[in-house]
Amino acid sequence: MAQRSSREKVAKHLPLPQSSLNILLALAEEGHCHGYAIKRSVEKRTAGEIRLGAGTLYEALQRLHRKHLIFESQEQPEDEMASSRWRCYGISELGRQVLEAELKRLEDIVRYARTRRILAQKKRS
Amino acid sequence: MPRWLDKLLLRMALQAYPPDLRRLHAKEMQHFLRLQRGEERYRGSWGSTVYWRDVLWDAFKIGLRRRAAIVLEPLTQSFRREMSRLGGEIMFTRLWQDLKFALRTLGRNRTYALVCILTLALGIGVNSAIFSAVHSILFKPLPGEDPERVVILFSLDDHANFPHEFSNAELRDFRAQSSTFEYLAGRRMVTLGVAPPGEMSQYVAGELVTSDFFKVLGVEPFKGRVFTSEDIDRGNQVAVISHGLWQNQMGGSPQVLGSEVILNGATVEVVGVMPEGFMGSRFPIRFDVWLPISMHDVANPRQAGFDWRNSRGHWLETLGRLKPGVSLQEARAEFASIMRRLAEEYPDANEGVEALLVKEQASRINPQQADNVNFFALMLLGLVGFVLLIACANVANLMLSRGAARARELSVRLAMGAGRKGLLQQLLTESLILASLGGLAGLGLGYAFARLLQDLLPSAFDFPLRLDIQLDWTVIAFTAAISLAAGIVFGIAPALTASRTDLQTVLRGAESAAGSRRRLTMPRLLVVAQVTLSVVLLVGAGLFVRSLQEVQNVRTGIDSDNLIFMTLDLSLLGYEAEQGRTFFDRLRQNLKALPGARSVSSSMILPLSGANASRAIYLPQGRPDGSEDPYIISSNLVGPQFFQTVGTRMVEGRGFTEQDSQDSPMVMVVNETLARQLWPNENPLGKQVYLTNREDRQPVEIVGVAEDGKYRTIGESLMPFFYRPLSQSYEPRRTIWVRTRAEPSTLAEPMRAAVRNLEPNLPLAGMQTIEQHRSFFLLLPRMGAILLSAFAGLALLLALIGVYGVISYAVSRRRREIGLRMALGAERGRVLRLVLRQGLMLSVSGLVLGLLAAMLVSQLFTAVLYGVEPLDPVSFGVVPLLLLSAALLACLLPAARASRIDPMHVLRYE
Repeated sequence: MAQRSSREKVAKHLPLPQSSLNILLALAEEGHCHGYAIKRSVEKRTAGEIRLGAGTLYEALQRLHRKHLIFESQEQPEDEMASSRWRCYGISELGRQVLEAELKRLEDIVRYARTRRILAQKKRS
Repeated sequence: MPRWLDKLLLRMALQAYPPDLRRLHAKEMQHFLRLQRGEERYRGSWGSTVYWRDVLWDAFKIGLRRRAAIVLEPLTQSFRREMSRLGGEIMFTRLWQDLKFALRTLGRNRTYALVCILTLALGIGVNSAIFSAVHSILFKPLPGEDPERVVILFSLDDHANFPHEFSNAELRDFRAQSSTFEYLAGRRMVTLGVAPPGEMSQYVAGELVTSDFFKVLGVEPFKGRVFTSEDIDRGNQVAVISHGLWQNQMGGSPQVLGSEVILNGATVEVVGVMPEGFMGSRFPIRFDVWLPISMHDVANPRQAGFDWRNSRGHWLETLGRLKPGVSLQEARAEFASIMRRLAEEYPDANEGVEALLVKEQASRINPQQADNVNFFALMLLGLVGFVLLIACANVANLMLSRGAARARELSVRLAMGAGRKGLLQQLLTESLILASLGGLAGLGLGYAFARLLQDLLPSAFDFPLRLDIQLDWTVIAFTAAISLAAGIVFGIAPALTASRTDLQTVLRGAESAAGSRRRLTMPRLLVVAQVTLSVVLLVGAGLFVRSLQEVQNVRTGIDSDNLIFMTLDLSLLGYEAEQGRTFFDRLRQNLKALPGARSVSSSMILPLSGANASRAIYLPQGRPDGSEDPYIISSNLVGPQFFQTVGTRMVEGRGFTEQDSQDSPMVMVVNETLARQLWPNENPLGKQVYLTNREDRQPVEIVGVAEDGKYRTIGESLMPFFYRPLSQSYEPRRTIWVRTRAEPSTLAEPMRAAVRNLEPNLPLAGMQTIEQHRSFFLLLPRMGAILLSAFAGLALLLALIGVYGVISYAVSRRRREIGLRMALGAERGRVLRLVLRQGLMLSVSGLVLGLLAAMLVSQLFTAVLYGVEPLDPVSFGVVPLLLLSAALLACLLPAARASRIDPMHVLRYE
């Protein structure tokens, strides 16, 4: 029963908006991060394809925070841009579960597309 | 960008974000934005523009999303509830009722409806016109299958800062090494003289292409075939022509395939005709002929003998069609490594050369700023969007004023039990009807505007432009969308105000004057802004019109009575210098023998066409300051009797004659300014100069001084200039001038025949009388004057409608007050003056602001104005008079209405 209710809690957040997904990925990858570092991480991973603007980023952070998917961390990361101005964020346990569930969901879609040959089979180049 | 401006913009951007976000994260966001400013991609000349675009877009997006959510959420919910409650049928019955009622109401107020529709039509029309122009140049996709898969490949290297071509050799390497492209091809633009055998050649734009060119574009020929690799290997003399060329020059003959055309003097077989509407692969030029790359020497005779096949010099533009499913990123990554390999293999040619891959549509303006094409287009549309906003504000004002007059009707309906939502819906239906009618009229007006724009573009170019403005579905959809948006924008505020009518107050007729004044602040500010804007535009238009007058009277050194010219280029046929001289001499004799010709001459450069050739001049004793540097002076090469034929007066000495030949001493004619510059206070005749500083240089003697004239552009200031005889320096491309005894255009056909008799395959460009040439070089001043006048007129009209709307609104609000005044003894004249004063106050504030703004703006025009001071007293004097008298007219109607108020009638409702 408890497990089921926690699954419902996770499912309520799906599917994740693109910006939220990217932010959670960045936090899961980098640990505690401030806003600008999250932006940099997303940009690096997508080779500049996704550029988060200040408003988009902080709005998403606010939303994620309200939903308890992330938390404000007291830790200050060692970073060339570290400054007391920054608030740092970390991914919460719930956030991690939501991220995993979302990735699993995406994976299912991709796998389906592969089996139906909508997407080409993976090839080694 | 200055730092303070950066800071100011930063603060403004922060204001645009939603308040709660700002409250929580202001400091962080400020810091974030500052760090972002330092990023690599925001460096360089466009850096700050791109940065501010990104930041403002982000702020706008977030702000809009938040606010839209606040407004839309309850609306959509109530709409859903309504739908489920009423069911579709009842909804539509009600919509139909609203529609009928709205049409009836508008029909009763025809003037009002007409003014609204006209205002909207103007605003929408301008937008629709600019949109169709922008769309046709920037966004209309190439014809052919999947145009978004077409990619242009540019080379980038350290020597040239701008993207340019590759070579055929590299194209071969690309084909061998690339796996992301289905086809890769090359193209090069060429000028061609084309005609069916025996007819006069015409200049067209052509493309020299490799065999896969048409496959890259994904187009099939309409008739016949396109090129094969065999054509290129064997060097077949074949051509593919455009539908237009086939129809217009070859009479649309069904036996076109296999027929021959003469192309730059060579006989070429037509193997294919492209479908109608296919104009080649490059905006904004219309192409008519395609040749296989192996015909390089025919198409490009000036570079005959060039090793087009194997040279690694960059001359061939490269384009390719991506394989299905391959992204541009993948192709870019692949080409990065291909270029690295080529740099190792051919360090001489390819060291430091990179490839820049850009989608065709994004390459049209500047491939390096490909991401910004949309941005520029949006900026342009945003600018004209303002006109539409002003129009909307006007209509909103008008509706407010009518809403006030209708307040009683609406309150009665409310009192009888109509729902507020129903009233709102009714009022919105009305504005949407107005918007649709305005949009329809705007579409027609926009088409007319666009055609005007098209016709204003010069037909004097060697190449036809492909600005094909059509009323296609995109334009219609755009117009419909902006009309709808306009209807909602101008309709929502008045509808809300009206439906919020306070029953009690209105029915009692007791609205206070103070309340009405407060409500008028916004419309008033708007009207003042409109007047300001139209004053700026009016002054600008005045300056341009005055400048046009001045320019038409300027002395160009060309006597424009009875003068006609044509341009021909012997290098297209590969003539040697000796052959060319003989040709030009014989042509001159034949032209002179024409009955209507008074005198004949020639020149290398056509004056006032923007073209220029500068040469170095050395004085025997060097410069007065002792340096050895030459003077760099603009010049022209001209034939015998040039000055006499064209009408340039000789101030001293002589012009050139037949006696100035290759074997006689070198001679030169200078203009007054150059004579003054080189030999102040001396007689320049007999002085000597040199054209080089080599040892074996020959002296050139000054034999004459010609009057000053205009050489490159009509607006240029006095410049030093010299002439040398064509006989002493061969030039294959010449303009031939004929001074006629009678109407010059009657000689056009005999002149053509004279050329055809000597060389049938020679294309002629620009057979024009000097009067026609005038309309070309006066194009810019004339276009400026026409466009600015049109915009200024439009702005003035809109501003006047605005003034009218606000004043009528004020009058209808103050009916009771005015009635009271009149009951207490105010005369009609007094009331009239009262209202007029109010209207004039608005106009005068706008006028003063506008004049101040115009003083600043006119400084920007200094460079393009001719013979007119930026603070031209005439323009600055006429505009206020014009504006004030027009504003007076606009106020007169409501003022008259106010003075006719019957005090008894108004006060009876107390």
